[in-house]
Amino acid sequence: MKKLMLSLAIAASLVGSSSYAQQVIRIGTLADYAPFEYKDASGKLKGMEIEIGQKMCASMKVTCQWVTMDFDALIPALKSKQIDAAMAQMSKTPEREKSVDFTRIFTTAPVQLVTKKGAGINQNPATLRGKTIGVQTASTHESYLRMRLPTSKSSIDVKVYQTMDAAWLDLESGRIDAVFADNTLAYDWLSKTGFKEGFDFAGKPIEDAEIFGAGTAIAVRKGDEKLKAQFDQAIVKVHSDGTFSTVNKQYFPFSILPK
Amino acid sequence: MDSLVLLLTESGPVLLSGLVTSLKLLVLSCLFGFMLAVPLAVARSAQSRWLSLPSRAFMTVFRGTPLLVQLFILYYGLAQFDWVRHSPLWLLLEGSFSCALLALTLNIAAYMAEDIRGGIAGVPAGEQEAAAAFGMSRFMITWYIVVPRAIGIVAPTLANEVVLQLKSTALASTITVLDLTGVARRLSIAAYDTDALILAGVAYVAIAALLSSMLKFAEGRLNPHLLR
Repeated sequence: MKKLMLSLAIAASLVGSSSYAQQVIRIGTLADYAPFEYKDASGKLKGMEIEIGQKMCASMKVTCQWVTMDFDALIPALKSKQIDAAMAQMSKTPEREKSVDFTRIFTTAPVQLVTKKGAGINQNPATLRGKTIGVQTASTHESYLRMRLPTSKSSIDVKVYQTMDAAWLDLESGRIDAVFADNTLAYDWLSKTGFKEGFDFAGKPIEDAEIFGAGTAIAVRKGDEKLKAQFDQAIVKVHSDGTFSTVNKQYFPFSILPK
Repeated sequence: MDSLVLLLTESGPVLLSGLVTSLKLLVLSCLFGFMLAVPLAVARSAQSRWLSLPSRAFMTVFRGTPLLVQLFILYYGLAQFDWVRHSPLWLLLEGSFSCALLALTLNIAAYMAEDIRGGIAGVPAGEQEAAAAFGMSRFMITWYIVVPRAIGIVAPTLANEVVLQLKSTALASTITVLDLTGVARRLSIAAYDTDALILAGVAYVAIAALLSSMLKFAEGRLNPHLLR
């Protein structure tokens, strides 16, 4: 009888403790999107968004589990409840808002072409005739080229890459004439490899709020108001208390804090 | 089901062009691969080490590494060297389709060569002796007796390699080739669902089934004495 009581007591304490455990949020992200989120040589997840994300999780008093996957798997994974949020430099666009809900804007990144210096290419479509431009698959950059500069009119050849690393490699080898990506990401590659090999930003940033949205945000499942509110609060906090700017400076010489 | 029908009417042409690309990769790589495999297998079976060792090395390398790694090395790896980009080899490596075709060809050549080598070893010694008794030269024995017999013996295995190759062509999508998998993946990304991938899966099964029965027929023509 004593034994039974004891085991009941243990069972009760176990049940009790689990109900007091911290809320666990599974956040989907990427493993190859330096400097925002990437795995270093030892397999550890690092990057600007990971760093700020962890601070946000602490301020939300939740346990965050980071799950890495391909960019195109994020929204399906959110829908099928494999993850609860996606933090992967996802632009908040009307197209995506049909499938998921977004928090307030987290970062803003200008978009611009990157080419070899002196290639004579800039944001003016006339300079892009007959050129091949590399973009990441399912990105807003791809939508821009397909909707605003369709091949039939612009004679631009669009090459679609699964990862940005592959696009940079093809730019280096000369298979493509330009890469169209976020400035932040391009800056990371340029500062590591590109500048040395004579590549640079071309022309001016391209502006099109309808396609590129106002910036990137954290995606949550449609109707998950609670988590959206939690993240919104955390974003306001890191934006206003200087946490964001401090981390920003470690990664980029320009600010990506939304205005 | 309705969404699948909608997908077919809206994206049918792109899916079809992807299918054609996949089939082109399959047919061309199997054809060139077979043409390469026969001399490789003969060299591998030769008495001379100068002939058998290089062939053996080629087969070990291509059968011992994943096709995905071969594709990446050919496409991204070699492109890093200036001298490669300025050599005639670049004509083959610059385009993603030709690069994928090259990798698929070399890969299946290695597998087919190993199969045919097994077939050559399995040709009964009596047949070769009979040919020698007729006064045939070694060259004639090899190319008129041993090789055709060996191919007949391993025909079912070769047919199996072709069906396996169909699925290997899907890897071409990793180096930006818009084959059936590449197109289906893009469509499913755009729609945030897996309808296009399911459709591609159905298409692969259908081609594999069709391919199997066609190859079965060819086997029958090659080995009429084995037909029941």
